[in-house]
Amino acid sequence: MPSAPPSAPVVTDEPDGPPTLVLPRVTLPGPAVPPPPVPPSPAPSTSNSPAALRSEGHDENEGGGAQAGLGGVMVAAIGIAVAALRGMTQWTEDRRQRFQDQAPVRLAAAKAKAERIKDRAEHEAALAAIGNDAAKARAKSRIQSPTEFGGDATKNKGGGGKGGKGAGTFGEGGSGGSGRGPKSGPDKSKGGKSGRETASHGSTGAGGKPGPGGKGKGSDKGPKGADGAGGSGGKSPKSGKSPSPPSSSPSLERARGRQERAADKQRAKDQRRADRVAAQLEDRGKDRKRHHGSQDDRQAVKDRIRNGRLEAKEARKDAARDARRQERADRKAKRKEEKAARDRTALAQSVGQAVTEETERRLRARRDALDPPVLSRNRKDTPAEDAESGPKVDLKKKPRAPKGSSTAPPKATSPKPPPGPETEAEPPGQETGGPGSGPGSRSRRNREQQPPPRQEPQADGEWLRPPPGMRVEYSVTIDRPDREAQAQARARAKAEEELRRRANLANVFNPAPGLPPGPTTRSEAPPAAPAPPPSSTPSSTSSPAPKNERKAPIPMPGGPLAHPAPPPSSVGDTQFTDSDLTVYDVIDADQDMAEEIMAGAEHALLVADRCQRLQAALEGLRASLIAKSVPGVFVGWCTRLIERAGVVEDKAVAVARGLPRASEAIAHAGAVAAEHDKPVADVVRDMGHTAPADTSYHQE
Amino acid sequence: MGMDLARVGSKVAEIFVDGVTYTVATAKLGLASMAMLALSESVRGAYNYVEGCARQVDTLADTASAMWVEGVVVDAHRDAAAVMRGVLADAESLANEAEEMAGDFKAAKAGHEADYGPVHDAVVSKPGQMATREYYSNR
Repeated sequence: MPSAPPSAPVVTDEPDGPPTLVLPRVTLPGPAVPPPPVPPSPAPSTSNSPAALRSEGHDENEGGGAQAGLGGVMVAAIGIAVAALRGMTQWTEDRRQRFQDQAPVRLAAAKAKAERIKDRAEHEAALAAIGNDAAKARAKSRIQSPTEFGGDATKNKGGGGKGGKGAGTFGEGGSGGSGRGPKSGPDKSKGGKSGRETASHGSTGAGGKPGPGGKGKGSDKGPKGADGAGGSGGKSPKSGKSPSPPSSSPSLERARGRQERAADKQRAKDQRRADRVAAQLEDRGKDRKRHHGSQDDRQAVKDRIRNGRLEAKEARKDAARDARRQERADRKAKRKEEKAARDRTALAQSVGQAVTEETERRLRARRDALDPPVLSRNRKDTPAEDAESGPKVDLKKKPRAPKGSSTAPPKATSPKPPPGPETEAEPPGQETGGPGSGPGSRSRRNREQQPPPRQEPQADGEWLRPPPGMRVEYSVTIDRPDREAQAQARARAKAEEELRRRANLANVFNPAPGLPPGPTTRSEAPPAAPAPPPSSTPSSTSSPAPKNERKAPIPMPGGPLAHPAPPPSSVGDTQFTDSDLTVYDVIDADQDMAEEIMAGAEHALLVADRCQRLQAALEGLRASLIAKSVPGVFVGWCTRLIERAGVVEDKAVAVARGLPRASEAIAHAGAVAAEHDKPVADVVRDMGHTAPADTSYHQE
Repeated sequence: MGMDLARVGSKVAEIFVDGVTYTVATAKLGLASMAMLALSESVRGAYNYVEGCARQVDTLADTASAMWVEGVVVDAHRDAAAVMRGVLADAESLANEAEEMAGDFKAAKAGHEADYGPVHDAVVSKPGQMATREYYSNR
């Protein structure tokens, strides 16, 4: 029986678990003839003493040497081995079954709870009537569960279904397993597999495995499986697979009946429990979601409750915090306002409340108005430092002087003194004199401000040049009208001032362009002229009222509002200007435009270059098409496309050539304009006038 | 803008550099069509500002003439505006040409596909190897 030894080790290998079985087998090959010595570690000593082997009880098959006895011994050994195997597998299966049987219970309980909670919350939150409906539904569900086995499967989901399956598999295993138990090893292994297969079908397959166990243990487990199935099914039996197995045997029907009964009981219990829980959790549990994990459900519910509480707390805290912050912010704002008010009042006391009040009023009004920030600063300063209004004017003049052409700077310096004297002289001389000085200064400022816009555009143009083709540049040109409009407004103001000045001052001894006010002051008060800065301070101390007048005009120059204020001045520097367009505008615009257009020419050249390359590429394509003998229209299209590329290139070149021409043309136009009209404009500017008189005034 | 133009142009040019097969050629024709269209658009956008310049110069000349500025000056500006408009016309025609060329690319692709596509499909789907091309000729 050489075949026997190999078979035995095979069987022994399967059990894995019991080491005791393996050891005896190892001993077998030793005594046996050469063929069987498959196991590499035979022990000769053991082979010599069969009795010892027998004492162990397993190895008699070969150790005895009696072939007749071999078969029986073999069977016995195998039976023992199988029993041990079964014990192992059953033990593990028991564990699994227990776990799985319990799992559906847990699952069902948790789900029932969650569902109840949710339903309850929804119902009660919505309407009490719906709550009644829920009660009805509960009652119905109790009734339905016994009659319709799987009726509630939809509600209770997987848990119940698993239970039902488990029951079914158990029924099969119990019937078939008893027969198989005594059979040979391979059959048993099959039985075990079949049990597993059934188990795989039903998630709680444990019920089916006791079946293969067949013998004593199998019977033991049968009831267990039934209990487990009953427990699980009680929660929510499923119709799916359970019906098919029961049809095979009446015992299954009995089992089913049991299960149903148990299911009813358990359901009732679960529902009661769930109702209780739901009643407790009604308030919190509306929005909570359910997880499908069996054990997790309970914890999830708890967690949700906790989270809900925490969130509520946090929300409350946040609200409180926000409220506090707002309160603080409000308090701070109030304090600031109070402080500011105090500061203002202090200033007012120091300087004279009437003055400050007026200034404040104007300040607020102007702040509300649209004036630019710089002006607003000046105004702010003015209330604090009344006397400094004069110096500020000077500061503005200084920057402006350099801006003027080469002739401007010296003159600009000279004009500074006159405004100071004006301020001093004016108050004593005439009421109009005070404001007049203001307007004069304004006019200078205005001129200063006017030129910068012109120069700024140039600067912009330069900055924008690097990205020549960009449209940004074009926007620059668009800006101009605005500037011109501003210039016009200022020019008008200047013109008015100029008028007044001229009217007041017939006697003009003009040393410098910006000086027209100067002479007037000198005529009235020659001594005051020398020291402009000191004059400002004394004036401030001497008479607050006139200061106010002056201050008012000073802030105004920025905006059009300023114009009405100046009139009172004594020998105002009257300037009339209302021009939509000036020579400078034209020259600047032409220059910018020429530059922009020149920049565009480069792009045209680029396009032309690319077109040339495209042409070359297309020619290459056509050559390769011809080389590959591609029939049809493609080659013809290539020829056409090559021509087109040439045309595009030509046009790009034309554009590239035309753009410089356009640039030249506009530059030339600017040059012509400069040639014809700029000299006069320069003289007017150098003389400190905003614009010359009407043409008729110069006719002789 | 300049960069765009350069990129677009080089893209158009590079499209046909590779080895030529039916699939590649038709695909590249499509790409070239789109590239030319983009070129056209960019040209149009790039020289729109010339239009703005001309308009501005015209208004400037009008204002100047209303202020009795010397005729020479006004005329110089009017001429400059005219030159600009001429360039603008060139640019516009360039853009149009590029657009038409894009259309040509598209038409070439469509024509080739309609003309030779079935042959290509048949050759590609033919099991086994292709014999020499003359073998398939129909005299």
